[in-house]
Amino acid sequence: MDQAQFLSSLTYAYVGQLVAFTICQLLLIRRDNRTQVALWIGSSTLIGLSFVIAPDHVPGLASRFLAPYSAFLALLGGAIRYAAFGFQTKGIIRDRLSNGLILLVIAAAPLTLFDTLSDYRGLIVALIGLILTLASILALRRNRYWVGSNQIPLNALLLGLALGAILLAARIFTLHPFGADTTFVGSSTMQLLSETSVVGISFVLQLGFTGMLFTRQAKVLAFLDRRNLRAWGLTAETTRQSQKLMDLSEQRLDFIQLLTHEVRTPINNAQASLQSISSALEYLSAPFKGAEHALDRATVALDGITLALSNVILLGSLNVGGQKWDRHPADAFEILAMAWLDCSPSRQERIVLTQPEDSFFVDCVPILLRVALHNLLEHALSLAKNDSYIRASIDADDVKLGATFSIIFESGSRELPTLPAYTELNFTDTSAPPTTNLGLFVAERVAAYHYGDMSIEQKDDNNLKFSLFVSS
Amino acid sequence: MIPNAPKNICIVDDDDDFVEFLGQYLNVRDLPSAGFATAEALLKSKRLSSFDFYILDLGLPGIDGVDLITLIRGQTSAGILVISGRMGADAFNSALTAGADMFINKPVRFDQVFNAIASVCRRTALKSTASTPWRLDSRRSQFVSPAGSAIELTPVELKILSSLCADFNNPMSRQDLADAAGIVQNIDDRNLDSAIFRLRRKIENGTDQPSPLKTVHGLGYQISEPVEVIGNRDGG
Repeated sequence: MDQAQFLSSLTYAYVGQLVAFTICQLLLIRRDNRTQVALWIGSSTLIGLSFVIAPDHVPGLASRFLAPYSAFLALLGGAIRYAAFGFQTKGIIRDRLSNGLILLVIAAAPLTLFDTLSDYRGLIVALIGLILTLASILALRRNRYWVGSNQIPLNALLLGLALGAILLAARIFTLHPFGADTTFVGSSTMQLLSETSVVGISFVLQLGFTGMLFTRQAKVLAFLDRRNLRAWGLTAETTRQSQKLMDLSEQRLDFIQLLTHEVRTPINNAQASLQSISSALEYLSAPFKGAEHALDRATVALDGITLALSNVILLGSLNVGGQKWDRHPADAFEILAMAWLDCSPSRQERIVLTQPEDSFFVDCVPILLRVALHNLLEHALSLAKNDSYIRASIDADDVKLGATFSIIFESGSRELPTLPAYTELNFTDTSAPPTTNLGLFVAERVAAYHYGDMSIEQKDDNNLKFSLFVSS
Repeated sequence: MIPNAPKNICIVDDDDDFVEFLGQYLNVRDLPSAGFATAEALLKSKRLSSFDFYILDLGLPGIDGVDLITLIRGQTSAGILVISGRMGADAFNSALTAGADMFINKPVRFDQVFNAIASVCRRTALKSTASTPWRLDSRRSQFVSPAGSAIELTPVELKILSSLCADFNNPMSRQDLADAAGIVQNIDDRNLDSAIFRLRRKIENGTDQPSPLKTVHGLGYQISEPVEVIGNRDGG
């Protein structure tokens, strides 16, 4: 093989190697390395171009016009490669020495373009190349973006750069004025040897850089995997904790239900007994009538206990997530009548129910609505003037589109009872539970559960009105 | 006095005192009853389907109250009233899903039980006289209840019902329903809701029954019971 043929083969081999590695690097491009890869490919392109346009490298392409730019392009490519080594996530590393060296390179590189210095072009290229290589070693060593990667490809890169530096240093003493060669590349034996070395070193550099990209990507993927695994673990733990809390809430509710069931059953029987006694008393003579008052008080007391228990269970049921009550169409007046019958017989006499002319059905949970209305009636009874009447009725609300239960009574006080300020029952072992107006709170919650609301208003000077609206 | 009053009431409750007191109360009001402490006792008596009204507890030893409702419902359409100390959503939902007609909570006064029996009897009487489902007669613009009460419909109401009946299984969005009925929605989308509200009231007043129009909150509206569509204007 003659020298010209060897040189062109070497050029093709070099360009082919650049193309092959460029494809690999493009396949490894990611959001976090795209700048480095772009700089590297840019530098490879310029260096490849400098090789192609160098004299005698590609037969037929050599041009007197382009050839002088070969050295400059090679140095420019080297400077860009330095940027690829030195680029971190947000810019070039701030290293005074390496940046100072690269500024020197940029300032000196145009010297290769002067024809008057053409005899020294080889020497200038070798000197600037040596400085560039040293700056690149420094940048690579000090850039944490690369240093954190796998050590093998990094060491391969450093080895390639070190060999390059040695080659360039040695080459200085073979170039004019110390030797015969005036250019770095050419067809002399020394030039061919050094170019072959450059191609070999370039292969090591390309391999090292591609390896660094690959290992860094593997590292990032492993990190993301670990992070996803941790996130999954945290999510699973949170779900477990939420489930535990939910189970605990449901257990508490079950215990409350069990307790209240155990208490409510004997109370229910006591109420039934009192009702029987009350019926029997009606047939007794006057001296025994005095017992009626005591009987009534016992009944009222039992009713108060059962209502409080119902309130606790109801709020517990509404507060525990996942407990969904199915709504059923129910006659609104039947529910109101049921709530009226929940009041003690002696107090029932004070409540006047007005039945609507037509049937009025509402989509609701009747047992919740019954407790809510019972609470409102009991509140009205406790706030109303002694021996005054409480009027309860149902009206269709054509504006809000639903049913409004109204309870109107003559208040013994001019002060409006306030709806509980608390939106959730939230008390600790050391603070007293806010039982004041608990019944109103229950009514408000039940109304909200039925897409409705509850209000208290002064109807006129003496009368107060409780309104419980449920959406139709 | 209860119209169509039951002549033979079955009470199943493991609380003997409650069964005894309630039995006495019902007897005084000419409502004869028989009490059982467990579902097994009722089954052993071989009289499961011989009663015309049932008052059941849910928390029974052995066969649970919900299972007992299912067993009874498999054999008879008699009224079933559940009186339970349980006050959770699960108990309420499962009892009504199994086929109970009404659910009331303990403690109850016997007058409340009496009212509940009357209410269930009234509803079951309406059901038993019904030989057909709800009917939508497009030619006459009428909506007819299972008991035969006919409601005259306006053109818009007819369109609303026709649209809902066209897809019985799925709720219809408010926008689709408004478009189908030719209702122009105002800013707060209340025109359709008002029309539905008035239609419901009209059906309830005219039939003394809950309207089969159901609100599916967050989705739209749906027909909750089968409706036979007669004389579809489109030629059906």
